Amino acid sequence: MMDLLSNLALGFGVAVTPVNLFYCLLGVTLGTMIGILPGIGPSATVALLLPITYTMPDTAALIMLAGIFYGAQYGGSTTAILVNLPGESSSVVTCLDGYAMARQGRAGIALATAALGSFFAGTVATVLIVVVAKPLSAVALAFGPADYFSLVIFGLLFAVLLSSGSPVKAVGMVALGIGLSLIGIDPTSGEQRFTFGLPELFDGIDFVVLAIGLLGVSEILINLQQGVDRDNGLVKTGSLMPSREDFKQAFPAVLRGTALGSFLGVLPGGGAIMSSFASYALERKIAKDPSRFGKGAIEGLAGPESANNAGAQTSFIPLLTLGIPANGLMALMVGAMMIQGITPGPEVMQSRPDLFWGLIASMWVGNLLLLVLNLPLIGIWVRLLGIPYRFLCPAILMFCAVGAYGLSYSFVDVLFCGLFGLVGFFLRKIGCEPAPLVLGFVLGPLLEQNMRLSLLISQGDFSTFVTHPISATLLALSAIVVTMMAVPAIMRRREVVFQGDDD
Amino acid sequence: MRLTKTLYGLASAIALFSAGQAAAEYPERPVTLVIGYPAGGGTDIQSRALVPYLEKHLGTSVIVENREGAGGLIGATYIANSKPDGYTIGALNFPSMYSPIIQGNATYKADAFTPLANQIGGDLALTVNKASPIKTAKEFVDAAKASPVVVGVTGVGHPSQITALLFEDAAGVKLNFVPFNGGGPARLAMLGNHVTLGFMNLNEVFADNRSGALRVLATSGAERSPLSPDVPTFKEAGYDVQFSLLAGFGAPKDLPPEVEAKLVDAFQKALSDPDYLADAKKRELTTLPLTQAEFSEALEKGNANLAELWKTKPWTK
Amino acid sequence: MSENKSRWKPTENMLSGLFFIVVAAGFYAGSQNVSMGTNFQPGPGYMPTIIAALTFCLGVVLLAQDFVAKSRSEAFVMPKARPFLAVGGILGFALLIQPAGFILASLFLIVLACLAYGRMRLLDVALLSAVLIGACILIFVVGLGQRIALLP
Repeated sequence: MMDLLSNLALGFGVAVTPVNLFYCLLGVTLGTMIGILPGIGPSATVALLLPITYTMPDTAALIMLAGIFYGAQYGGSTTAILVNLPGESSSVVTCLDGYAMARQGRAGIALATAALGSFFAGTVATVLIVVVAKPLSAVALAFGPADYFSLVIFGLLFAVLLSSGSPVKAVGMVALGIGLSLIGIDPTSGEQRFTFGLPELFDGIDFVVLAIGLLGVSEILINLQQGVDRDNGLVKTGSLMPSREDFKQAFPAVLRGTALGSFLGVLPGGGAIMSSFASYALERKIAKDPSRFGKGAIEGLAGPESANNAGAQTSFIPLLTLGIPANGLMALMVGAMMIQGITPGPEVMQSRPDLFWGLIASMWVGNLLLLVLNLPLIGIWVRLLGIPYRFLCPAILMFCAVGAYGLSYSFVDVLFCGLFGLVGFFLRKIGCEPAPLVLGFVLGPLLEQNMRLSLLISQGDFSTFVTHPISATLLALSAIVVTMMAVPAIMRRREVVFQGDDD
Repeated sequence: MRLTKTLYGLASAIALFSAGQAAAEYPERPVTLVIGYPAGGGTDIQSRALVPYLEKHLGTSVIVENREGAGGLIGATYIANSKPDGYTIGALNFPSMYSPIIQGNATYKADAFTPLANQIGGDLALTVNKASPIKTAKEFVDAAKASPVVVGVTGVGHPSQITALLFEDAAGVKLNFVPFNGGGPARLAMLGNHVTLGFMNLNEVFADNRSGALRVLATSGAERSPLSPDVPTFKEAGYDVQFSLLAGFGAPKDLPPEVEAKLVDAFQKALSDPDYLADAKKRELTTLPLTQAEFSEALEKGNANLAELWKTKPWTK
Repeated sequence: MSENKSRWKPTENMLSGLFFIVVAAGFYAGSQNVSMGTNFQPGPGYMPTIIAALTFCLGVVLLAQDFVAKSRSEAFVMPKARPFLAVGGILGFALLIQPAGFILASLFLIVLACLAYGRMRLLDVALLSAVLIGACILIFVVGLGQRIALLP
């Protein structure tokens, strides 16, 4: 315990030196900004800034890059809530109830809840890294391909639960999402699939293009269809801060989201992605009145927002303790360390305690800075919604198009963005929600690769999925969920009520 | 997040710049170095380590541009289609930028590039998890002969798999491959002992070999690697396998001769700059400086060997 | 079916059923070029085939729900045409950005977006274009250093 305290003291000593504080502030500010803009995400920004870090002090460089990462998690929810534009895979779920809240004039409350929930989750996750990073890192190693496969299956069931319409259509949307994610060169065989020989498709469709089109552009089409006389802007601006009642509803969800996100975030390759919608599905499942979800339920916003921020923090654990990057951004952090001549791995904690603990302490400092930075901005964001829709609509379209183009300067990305907008619109017209599709798209490659890897490792023996204990447990849980969904009485009511009022 | 595809965007911007500027002494503006791999990756880090010295000897600034995707294919396509004016050069990796040609995925041919110089050589490593009873390459072969073994590789057609295919021939065994999606996931699965045996990039596992989490049994270079001086080469272990990946630089073909000469000269001087060599040593880079002629010959030979191997063991089929 | 007075009015479920069947056909056709593999070594066509089978079944279920069951889902409402100009704006932006440069492509997008909205004064459109294009250049080109050609 004394060790811990002295380590923390060392960390905070490093984190609050003027230089490091400055780079932390710079990182989180930049992160917030690029999180808000659709298109360019934290990975692209970090990649852009990596060369600059060559000449920076190593601790400051890592503190700044980390700040960009979790700062973007804060910023990403802003456009999701305001205009249904998710900038990151984690904010797809934020759109569901956050945007609904904004349309009810509760955008301020939604933004404040997201910021406060994220701060709470970030604080808890930072403490977790300090206290249990070592044991948690064992979790990262315990998951093999078979276990990941079952985890993804479990996650996809959440995706179905998360939709408020017909479960048959939701399953179809998930399947379509998985199918779209297979476009490109297959990593396991090196063969092209559905690319039509177009080099632009070799690497698949970018998540951002799909999400901007399916959710953002289609939302504009829906708005335009519903009559264009809302010259007074999308919504009236209501209260900015959550009331006591909101707080009472949101806090338990924040707690659950934090727990779920902290655990899933540790899993390399996809754990953190799942945390936000696992949390959403959980909140919906245990809510007294699930029909409120998708219509501005504050728990449906608070839980996932906390989960994704907690997951973002704990995804540093495998990097710091094992040198294993949990996602693409962590791989860039590995690069940043190598540039500084540090080989990431367990020895960093011993050889460079100042860097190790300084980085961790800076995460909490960064979260605090983000809160201070974001709360006053809420008023400004909410006022943006007061701009007449005839101005707002071209502006949003413009940001969608530039964001999609800026990803890799490919006009094909912009074309796809427009086409997905059209597809998303018609899907919504025929009662198919796009959110499960987006989640299927995110998880599809994980599902396929881990299935094939497991079968290759087990030499074609399907029992590998039940002989691995983690995998078996997850599949059993999935089976329980399916049974619950398939009980005919529930099915019938789901279809009749149409909004999934299965309480 | 993956930064996606494509080629056209910058080409037009560059074309815009270069229009109307002819025939003055090269280089009169910054040179773009295209790297077909993500920032922070192995190729990126080693290339960037050379860039300051290249700038010094070329006499202009060098802008690094990462155009990653599809295992280097996107970047290679971009370089191949760039204007051969010396203002776009790129990192040229063997075999990853050449194997797509043999596999039929590439839109360019092997002669689309003018090789300039090689910087790095990378060895591949036969690796086992520490829990495995296998201690030598010989024991590995015995195990593979006794019963089918499952072997992780970093990806389809990756150097690790090519080495493993060569090893199959040399040792007379048959291996069942599990191609992971890159070196990171492969290493993770080996550390977690989800696959016990694997062919890996030595520069990604040498630290684990030092710490004892993984055990490297043999390496694929002509000599022992400085990263693992205690580990024998395949040849020393009695198997006639030698394969190294090359990481060098190239330009689109048909460079004007005076531009080519200038670039070759600048690379040569940069690669032998004592400051660079000291820096490379500090970063534990496995330098393998080759002149333009040596690099071209190595590529030619390597491609011929790849094509030969493809005939008997087509790895994507 | 004939007792329904709007005889061929498609419902949401019918259209989604058809949609899924078309999707299934697409994935099935696409997976024909690549090898299916075996259960021992699933090939690149394995997952697409599963997806095709699954979406096909779901499509049939959705169709059956509305053709067989008594209660029908809601009728499909034909959307208005004008809002689709917004999509036209994005597609136009995509096709124009490289040959014509950022400024012209953006102008096209903004004008079409305004047309999609409906009644707008010319002055508003001009002002909006100036502000938006200026802001985007400041944020993306100057601020983020993205290399986007502004003019042809």
